[in-house]
Amino acid sequence: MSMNNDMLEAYLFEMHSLLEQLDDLVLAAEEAHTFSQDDVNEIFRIMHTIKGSSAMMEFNSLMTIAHRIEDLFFVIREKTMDAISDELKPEMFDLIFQSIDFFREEIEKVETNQPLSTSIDTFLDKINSFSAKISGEAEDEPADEPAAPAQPGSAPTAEEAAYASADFPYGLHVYFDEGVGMENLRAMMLINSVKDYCEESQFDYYPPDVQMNPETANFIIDNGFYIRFRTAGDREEAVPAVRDNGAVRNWQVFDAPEASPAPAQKAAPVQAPVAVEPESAHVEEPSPAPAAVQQAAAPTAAQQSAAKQAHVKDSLISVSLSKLDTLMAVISEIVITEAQVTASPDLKGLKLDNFTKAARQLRSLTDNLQDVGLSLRMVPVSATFQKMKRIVRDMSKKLKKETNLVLVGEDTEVDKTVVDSISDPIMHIVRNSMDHGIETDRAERISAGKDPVGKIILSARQTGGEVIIEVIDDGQGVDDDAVLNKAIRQGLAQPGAEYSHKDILNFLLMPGFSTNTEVTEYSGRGVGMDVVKSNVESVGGTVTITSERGKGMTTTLRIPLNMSIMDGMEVSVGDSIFTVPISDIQQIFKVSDINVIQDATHGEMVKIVDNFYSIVRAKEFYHLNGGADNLEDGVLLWVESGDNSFCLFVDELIGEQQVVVKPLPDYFNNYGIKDYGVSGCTILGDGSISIILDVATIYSSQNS
Amino acid sequence: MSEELFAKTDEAKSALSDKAHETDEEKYLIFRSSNILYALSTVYVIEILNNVSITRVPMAPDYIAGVINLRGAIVPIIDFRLLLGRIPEEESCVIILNIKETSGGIVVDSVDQMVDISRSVILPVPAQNEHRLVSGMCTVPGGVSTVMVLDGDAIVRIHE
Repeated sequence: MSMNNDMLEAYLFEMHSLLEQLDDLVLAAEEAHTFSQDDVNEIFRIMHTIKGSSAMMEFNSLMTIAHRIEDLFFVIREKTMDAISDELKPEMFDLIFQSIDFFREEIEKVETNQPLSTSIDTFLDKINSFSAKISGEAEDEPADEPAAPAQPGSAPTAEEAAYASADFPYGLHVYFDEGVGMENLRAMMLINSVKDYCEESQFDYYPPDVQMNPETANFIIDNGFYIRFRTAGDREEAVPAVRDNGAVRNWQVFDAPEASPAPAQKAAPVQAPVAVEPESAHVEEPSPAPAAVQQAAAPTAAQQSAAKQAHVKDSLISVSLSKLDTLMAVISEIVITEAQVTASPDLKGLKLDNFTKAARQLRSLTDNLQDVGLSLRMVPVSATFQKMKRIVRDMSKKLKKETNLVLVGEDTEVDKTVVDSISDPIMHIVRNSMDHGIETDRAERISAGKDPVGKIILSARQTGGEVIIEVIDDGQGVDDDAVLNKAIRQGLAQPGAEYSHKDILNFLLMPGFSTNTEVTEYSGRGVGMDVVKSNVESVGGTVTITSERGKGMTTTLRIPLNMSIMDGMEVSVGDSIFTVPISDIQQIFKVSDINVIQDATHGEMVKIVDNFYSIVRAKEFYHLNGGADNLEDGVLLWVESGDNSFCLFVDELIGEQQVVVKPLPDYFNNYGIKDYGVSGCTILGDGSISIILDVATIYSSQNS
Repeated sequence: MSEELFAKTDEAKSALSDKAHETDEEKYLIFRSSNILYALSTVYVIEILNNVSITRVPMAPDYIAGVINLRGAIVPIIDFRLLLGRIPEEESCVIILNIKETSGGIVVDSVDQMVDISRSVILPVPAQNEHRLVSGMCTVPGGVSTVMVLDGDAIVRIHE
């Protein structure tokens, strides 16, 4: 693809956000079983944008489909949703979802550099036949549509305004491309774009009922379409709208006086403006009266929608994540440097009142700066949550399990990287709940005293330094026996051994575990909750499952708010300084030798409250020189991360400090030191570097 | 006509060789490590630091001295003497390099001087004395000492 990359990137960004918007909108509309006029306008606008940008990028399949949907919504917009019968609505929603999926697929192809679909005819036919259904239905609409009486009161005046006088002498005669189809709608669209240049009261057009009467298409094919302006100036201004319309083959200017003795083929249109006398105007018109009445009302509606469409440009800009990362890095540097300057040893013993004052001011400013910098990367989880609506909708249709998704705390904000890494896990858990959790049989739910409609709650909330995301379903819960049997079959559990409820739930998170015997479309593909677990752990989070048989299951993800700045405890071992995340430390204590229990392989343990924990000596674990050998000379940190809990033996505590986490240079990836819990480091106030110990990894490598 | 053409190409040829001659000389930084002189092309060298505190990284191989804080960036440092299996001396300084967009440093005994070396005087190392880091050797222009010319790319690949 030899396309300008920036342009492509902007296009993809736009497409993604438009499709997301569209998805939300259609989901909400489906719930309400109808589109509001605003929705229709919005969809029309989105399709128009997709069509335009895709055409610019020369993605024809996207453009064509968007174009057809746009046309479809144009009809809906003009006829309102009342024109679509209830039987047709589900079909319409499905059609729109299908087109969203189609757009997504195509976009994915663009992203992965694959050729776009060329055979879109079946899909096109589908849209066309649906369009035809609506249009067909709408034809008899005006006759039996009781909505019409609502408007007649205003009709005469509106009509007067549109048709009263012959003072629209300056005309444009437009011919559309041959065989372009739906000429009447194209004429209507042309009128809409003319409205951008010219007050609606300053022009009229012929045939007047293009948006209501598909028959006018034939007239336009044969005779062309007429737009007439009150002044020549208006006409001049409107010319670009006509010129730039893609479907216009050619157009010419004509003026009323010379148009009256028009050639035969022009007779009909020209007659209209001339013959029309103020009061009796519409009697002369070729179209049936109800159409005329509606026509009079329609432009006002169209005008309103046009006004609404001029939506406020939002004050958001999109910034590349790497720029934000750079900004954060610079801010971190400033924070560190500030500490270096204000706590410089050179200042010791000096009495510097002004300096101290300025330094204090600087500190509060850098604190502010840091907060602002961090908040820039924070995004609400709503986008991720909204996606689940679609998944639940599709799955409840497919699996015939009627289920509602309830979203709680969508506006909770988390770091962008966190959002990206929890999106897949959440999707997986929700799918699991749909697939395995919610009962297949409604009767089963009713007999259990539950609402026949299943419920999944997806909630996010913030507590202290963590975001807690829960997926709660009210399904059948986890069958301990089934899980245990499966675990034994998979070789994860020992037959005959006793397992607690909690142990059994933990099997669900183990690699290669999938309780469903059949592989379904949605879950049970061999990857399971273990992927969820590893994804969440990659951002420093944990996963826990609780479940009660018959009541449902709750999956809880706890994720640190942001990963780049954390509270750390500085500890020393010999002459090395390490940082242990405070969030991992349960307790810090000294131990006397009599409390240390030895096992046969020289392993050491200590008892805390009701449990024994093994002792890991940092000095031996890392083969360090220097440092205390006698447990009584140092301190024990009881640390816990995820399911791992043990005591880390270090020489002494240096102090607590807020630190900026920096990854070790990539160069170290060659040596596998990450497997020993060495994955990051931080720069201390004095400029020296401290290695951050990843407690969870220390434990697993200790055990292996 | 054709003669003229030939004349032109000859001219171009000589211009080209002049140019080649200009680019043939490259600046090298000469440093001393375990009493051997090494030369490293200055295109790789960013700066030379004295008295830096290096933080050891646990579980990394011995020849990795650790990491340093270079104006906020964490830069890995390799002890060049240990890398070549020598025992480091007390005296040391760190040369910060940038090789293939990767920043890193090497600890050496001392930095000697900067010289221009023409590519043509760099000779191959005898097969028996070949070393993966050394791409050639030469006598320092105007001097008597011999230097080992280092292959910069090989330094970033030492873990392989």
